[in-house]
Amino acid sequence: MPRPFFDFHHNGHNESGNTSIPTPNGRCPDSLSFVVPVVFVVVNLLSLDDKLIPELGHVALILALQLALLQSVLGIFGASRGSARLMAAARGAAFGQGLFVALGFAALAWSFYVNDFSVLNVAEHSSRHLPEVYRLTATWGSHEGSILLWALILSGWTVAVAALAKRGGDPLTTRVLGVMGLVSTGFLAFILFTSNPFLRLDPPPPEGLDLNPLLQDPGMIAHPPLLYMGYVGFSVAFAFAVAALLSGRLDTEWSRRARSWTLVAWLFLTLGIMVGSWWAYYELGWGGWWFWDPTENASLMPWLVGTALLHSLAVTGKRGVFQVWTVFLAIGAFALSLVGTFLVRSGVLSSVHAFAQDPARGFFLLLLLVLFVGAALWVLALRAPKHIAPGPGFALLSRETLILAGNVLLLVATGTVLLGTLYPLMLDALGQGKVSVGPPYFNGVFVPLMVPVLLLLGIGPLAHWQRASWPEILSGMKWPMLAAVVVGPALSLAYGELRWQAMLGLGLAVWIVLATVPRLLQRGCTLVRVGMGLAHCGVAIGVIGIGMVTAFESERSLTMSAGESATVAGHEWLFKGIAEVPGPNYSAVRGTLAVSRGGAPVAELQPEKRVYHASKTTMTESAIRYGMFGDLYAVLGDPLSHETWTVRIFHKPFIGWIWGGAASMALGAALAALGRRKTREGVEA
Amino acid sequence: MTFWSIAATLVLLALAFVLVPMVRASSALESSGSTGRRWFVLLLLAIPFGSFGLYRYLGAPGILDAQPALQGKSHDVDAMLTALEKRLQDKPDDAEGWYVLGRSYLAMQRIADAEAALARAVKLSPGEARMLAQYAEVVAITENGNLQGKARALIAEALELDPQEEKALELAGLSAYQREEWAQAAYYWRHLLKRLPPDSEFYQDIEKALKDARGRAEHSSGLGGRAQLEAPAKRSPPP
Repeated sequence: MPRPFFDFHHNGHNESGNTSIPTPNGRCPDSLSFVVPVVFVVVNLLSLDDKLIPELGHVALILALQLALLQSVLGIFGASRGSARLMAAARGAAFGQGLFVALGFAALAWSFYVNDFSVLNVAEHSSRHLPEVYRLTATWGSHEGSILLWALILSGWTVAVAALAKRGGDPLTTRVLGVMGLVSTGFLAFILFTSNPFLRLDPPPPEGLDLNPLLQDPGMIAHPPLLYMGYVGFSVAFAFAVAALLSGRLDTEWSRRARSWTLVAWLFLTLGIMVGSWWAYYELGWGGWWFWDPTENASLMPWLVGTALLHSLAVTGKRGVFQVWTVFLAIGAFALSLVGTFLVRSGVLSSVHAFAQDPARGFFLLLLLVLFVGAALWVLALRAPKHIAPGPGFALLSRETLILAGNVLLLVATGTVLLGTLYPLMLDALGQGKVSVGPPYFNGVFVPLMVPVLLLLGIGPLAHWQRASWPEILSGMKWPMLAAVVVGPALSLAYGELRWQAMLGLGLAVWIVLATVPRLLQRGCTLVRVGMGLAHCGVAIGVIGIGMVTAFESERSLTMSAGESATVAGHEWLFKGIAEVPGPNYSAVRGTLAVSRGGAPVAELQPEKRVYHASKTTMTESAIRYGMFGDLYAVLGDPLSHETWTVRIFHKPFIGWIWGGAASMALGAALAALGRRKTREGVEA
Repeated sequence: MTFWSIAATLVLLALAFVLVPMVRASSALESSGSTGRRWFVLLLLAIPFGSFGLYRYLGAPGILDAQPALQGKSHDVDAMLTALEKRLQDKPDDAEGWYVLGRSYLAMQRIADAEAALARAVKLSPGEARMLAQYAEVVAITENGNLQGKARALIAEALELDPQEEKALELAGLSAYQREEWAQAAYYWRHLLKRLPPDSEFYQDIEKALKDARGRAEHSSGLGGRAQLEAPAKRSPPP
């Protein structure tokens, strides 16, 4: 179409329509300063045409798919034949698969880095004005890239399993690699046939559509990789369980070896959820830390079952009981990871109708879910009755029973979350109208189920394995219980007034700490025990945060003009006015609030409101003053005139403890995994 | 060529990952030596063929030897134009033909010829909004870009026939812009923007123009301070 030559906006066109590809300069942030030059040097050494890179990435993924298939076929078939050649080849395929998935991922990241808009995925999720670090995180900001990250992490776990196995390859590890290869094959096929990140545009558009502004945040760097490390990590436990079933040796070996892997996966999932919750807290500007949003529930469910699995694995490894239950939980944790991936990735959450319009992806994922879980359960049903090794018995009152009770409660809680998440989707899909299942349901059902879990958490360590006695447990419980009943209300009263959430939270925390820590000190500190203590104390810390913030948080919506001040939550807030600040790919207005307490300045908060150029979306950037005993949180609302703005101010007592608790749990899991590795090395040496 | 040689290297690398450990594993434990050999041959054949087939099916090898756009196309346009002129001599009442011819002349900056051809197209087929809008553009060009007199009437007529016509919407916006009716200009361009593919150059130009018009509209209605947020493009109105 000929363009009008008097077109007045044409003269400025070359600024943005410039199609030359900028070369990287040295301004990349620290964390990436290593990776980028390496890739850059490699590409320069080969002096490749940039157009080639995405195509080579495509070839790498195609090779990875074939190697994954070989890894599974050779692994499972070779182990059942006992063929050393085939088992060695399966292990080699696992390494190769890892390398080629990494190459594919690097090619996509490179395309994002150099703004290669001839790659459709880059054109749709990046732009020239996107800051460099987000150009790289945009690699997993799209559906295709996100699934590729999933596959990359799965191959990372695979390589780790293969590398830590003995060189000759024992049949159990080879079978584990085989099962993981099946999962890889499924996901790589999903990528190549329904979510291909390397589709090309010819000719390339001059500019991309930019990344969703919500995702232009440091949280995007850490949250998805951490979460996926957890999700995908459960595939190792799953693979061990299925491999044990296939080999017909349902003994303590598989559970001992699977336990370290599960600990690490659980650790990452905990961190992923923690970062996600914190991200939602500061980025969405709602001031909450958990919304019972389906995407959040999607990560909570595998976490709950994973927690149950960890404890069950410990019992199975130590006592040789609960074999089938543990296998079932290992399958369940991975199944829920897949359900989570399905919920978030199929588009079913944004609308069930969107899913129906483009069903290929959703059905493919659903098919994978049904195949993997169905096959695993089928093998379980077939093999378990034949091969179960009868463990030693245990009495009705014993640590085994208490852990089992905790497990069942966790599973029931998972069920309620699953129901609340899927029910609205099912109704909508069946054309029965829209219902919204929100916090009232989840809080009403979830909290009463979790309180007994937390009580059990204190009782468990007091009971003996195999047979415990009531008098012993009761005498152990006496003081912690008494302290909890007294200290909980007392601290709540000391903070302000008696509120049940605070009393419950504080009381449970005191109960957990007092029932766990002295016992731990009594029995001597190994790394594993310290890890367990730290994780359980992490629960206590988190519970304090949840109880206190629910009981004592305060929120005010104010209309403020420059120079006005207000008193909220014991602090004086002075609104100093609004200033305009330009950003790299957005413009913003920034409000300044000076916070003081009794005349002494405490903080200066600068919440922003941003308009992103490419997508024209408005984003609120909250300003937070983090504190040990509570956060001050401010959000800029809407302008009423040039001078007067609405401002929302929150005081969130102890909210940081929630994430602190999660971090403590993760640290505990890390110590336990480390301790287990040390003792195992000791045993083997 | 580079691509295919690197791709072949990658395939060999993939084969090495599987075949080298297979060969190196001690065959002493092997019950039947032929198992390994059979797999070896199978993989040696299957992986290269599988990779090539899958890449042919999924990849875009064509993009690698795509020529830079429009190179050496000029000759073809001339030939096409001559053919079209000849056809219209034989069949002078082909409105579509005159329209295409007019646009081609316009692209070649033959403004007077373009005006004549498009005038003919509009006369032959008065109900076509796109022809009217194209004609309006040429008329405006002959009047140094002035979109007010005859051109404005043509645009109005085109929009009446088809309120969604893209060229007409663009010109209507420009016309309003020239009259400093900023809100009106923004209105037309907003409508136009909805109809354009967001990754096109045209879209981005219109988007810029829309931003500019909106900024001016808000400025002139006294919302100056807030309009700053939109970061108006600092550009002079059309000559």
